[in-house]
Amino acid sequence: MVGLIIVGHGDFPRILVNSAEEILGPIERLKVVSFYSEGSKNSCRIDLRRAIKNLESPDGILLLADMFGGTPCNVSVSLQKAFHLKIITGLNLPMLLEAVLHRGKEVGKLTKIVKESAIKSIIETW
Amino acid sequence: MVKISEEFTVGNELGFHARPAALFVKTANSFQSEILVKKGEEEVDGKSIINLLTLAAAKGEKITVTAKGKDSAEAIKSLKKILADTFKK
Repeated sequence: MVGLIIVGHGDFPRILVNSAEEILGPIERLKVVSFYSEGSKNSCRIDLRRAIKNLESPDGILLLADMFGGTPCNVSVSLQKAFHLKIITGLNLPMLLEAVLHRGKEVGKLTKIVKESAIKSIIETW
Repeated sequence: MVKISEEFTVGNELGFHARPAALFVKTANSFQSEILVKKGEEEVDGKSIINLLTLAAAKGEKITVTAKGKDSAEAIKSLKKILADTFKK
């Protein structure tokens, strides 16, 4: 099963995971890494490395970051090659739900499904 | 390839909303068969929660679930139970 890491600014990633668990029930093999303004970039990198180490397996890891260009994303990208992470930015609830529901799939295929689904979930209603 | 379709009427106030859709997708993904869900002219992949929710199936509307594959009979049986439980609430 692909490991999931959810990263973002402040409490957003934890709260989003709470919302996903309201719909799906408890989610296993998932780690949240929050970046707070008072914390150093290095301590966030240490937290992220710890989460990666905890989830490492042959099935791989998909990391969902809240915003491209933000520190959580940038720190994640700095570790991407060393740990063979798949990373998608623009974290939202549908993206997280799809990631959990399809995580039995191969990590490359999972990444493609999650990215496409997240984009499709942005709809202007009428 | 075995193909089985069954039609359901959304009977609950909230329609085909997130929690039952998640359960439907979890169950659909446990089968090898392709699962399709149709409302009107629109047919979507029943193994994707986003696709199911974008159907916006509301109370009184009809959806058709189709399973294509070796285990289609078992898939339809399991999905039928979920929809029956959801739509009677």
